[in-house]
Amino acid sequence: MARGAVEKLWVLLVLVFLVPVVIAVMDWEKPQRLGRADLGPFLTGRRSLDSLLDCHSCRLVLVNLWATWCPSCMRELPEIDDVYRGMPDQLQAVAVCMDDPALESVRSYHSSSGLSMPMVWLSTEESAALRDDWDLPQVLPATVLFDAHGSELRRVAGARSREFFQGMVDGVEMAGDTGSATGPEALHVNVVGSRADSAYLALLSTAVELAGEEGVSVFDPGDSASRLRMDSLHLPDLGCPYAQACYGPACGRPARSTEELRTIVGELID
Amino acid sequence: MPGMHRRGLMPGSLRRQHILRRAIQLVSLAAMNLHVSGLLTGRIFTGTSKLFCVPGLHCYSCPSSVLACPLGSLQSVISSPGFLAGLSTGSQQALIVLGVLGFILLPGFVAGSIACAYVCPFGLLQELLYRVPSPKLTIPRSWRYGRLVMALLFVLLLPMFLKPSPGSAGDPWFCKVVCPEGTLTAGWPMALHDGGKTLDLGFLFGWKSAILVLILLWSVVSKRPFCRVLCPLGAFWGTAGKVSLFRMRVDSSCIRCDRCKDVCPVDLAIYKHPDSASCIRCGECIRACPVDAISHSAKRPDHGGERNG
Repeated sequence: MARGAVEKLWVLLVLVFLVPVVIAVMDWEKPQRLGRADLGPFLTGRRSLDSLLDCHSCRLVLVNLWATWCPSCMRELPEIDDVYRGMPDQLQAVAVCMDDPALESVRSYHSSSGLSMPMVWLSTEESAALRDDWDLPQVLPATVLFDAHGSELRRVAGARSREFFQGMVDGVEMAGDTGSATGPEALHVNVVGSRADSAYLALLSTAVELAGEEGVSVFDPGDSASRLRMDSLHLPDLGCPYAQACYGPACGRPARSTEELRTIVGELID
Repeated sequence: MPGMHRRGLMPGSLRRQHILRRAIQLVSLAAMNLHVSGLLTGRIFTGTSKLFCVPGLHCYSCPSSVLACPLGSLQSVISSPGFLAGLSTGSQQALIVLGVLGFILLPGFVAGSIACAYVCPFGLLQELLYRVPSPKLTIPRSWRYGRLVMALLFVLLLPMFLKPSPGSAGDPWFCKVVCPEGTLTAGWPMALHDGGKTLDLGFLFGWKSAILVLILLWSVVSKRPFCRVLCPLGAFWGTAGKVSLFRMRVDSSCIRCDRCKDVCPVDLAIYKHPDSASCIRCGECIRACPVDAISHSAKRPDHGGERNG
């Protein structure tokens, strides 16, 4: 009888190794809580975003929409991450990268970013769909706060400070949340393209008209020095001329036509 | 019989075989760990040789390792997002995993678990620990099924199917919650190197450290316990070894004296189970047998006692 039990003991030995598996899986139910040194996960696709938002043990979910070509976004991401790290288990935060087709450069930004909150990259089509679903402004960065049931509590357009975000999740009304909190109120347009291209020239003249000569920077992806400057600003090479406008802390997506540029600048200034 | 494996009492050819095998094990250990600077810098080697797997259990993340682990590579490919879908559409990744599996299984189909005897560093460690004087315990034969379940569950099924959300990557569960070799050669050196900066010293680190210590202690009292009861690589190779080209043959001159079992690193009486998946083809029983009944060959000897191995 005892011998029979010893013969089967290997089953118990194998089952013992399932214990940490179960513990790890139970941890998945909680929002990704990582140590200070840890880099958060990098996911892609709308389904990943939806499963992150479906967080049953969270009191609040903060979704920050950004792109690598938006300098204000890049500045505020670490601030949001600090707020996220300081609030164990109650706050789910997700950094959603939109309208940023260069997946590989987003991925490499992520791996050097040191950000602990989960990051989701959406393709151009998925970004457009999200904009429709959530009725998002054409401006980045934008931050939307949801409660535990998935209802929207607040949204802000444009970059904010850490204190602002901390106050946002603490439920305190912050002054000036409809205005912008960082950056001078000036319109700046980056125009990318080759001088031989008439579309580029049209965008350039519209940009100068809107922002003045001092408010426009030009980049030529065919020129290596210019390319280096583009890379340092995370401006993507979209294969066609475009103009990307920022007004203070808020940035619009790259515009490929002059009408689009005017629309975006109009929304930014409002 | 006790003492048969002590130096001085070994027949000459057995002793030579034993020394030869030890030498090959040590040379293999050195050859797979040429990146010695990694131990000082705490950096893992990422050169071209890391595309290739060591024929044994040695962690990719060991700072001195110049090769990858076959089990780690296998789990990494099958847990990647889109792998399952890729299998049905014949994608490149699916072909890669078949390649890795083929690489893992091929030596097994030639000569079974022979790499376990001559190359695997963790096997070497267990054999050395067994030499520590202590009361010795046998392991029930049925426990060998444990390693098959470990292989199926922790190397194949869990990495493929257990995912936090659909479309995300799975985890290499064997590496994460089991592998003592990884803890010893990667986890502990990295922890010693910078105490928690590069490696999270949380629950899993503690769990795996405890597992490692228990297995090392077990290796003192039993012969190669991890190999026989838990090692998925042993499961793959041992199973392939049942139909391998080279096999253990015991002819009718066997007198059942059990000297083969005494010298066997995995405590196998080869005459009882010549096709055993547990046999690591070390060749020591061949030299220990007083009537030369044992051989390792590709052809079955005829009854006249002719032999090719």
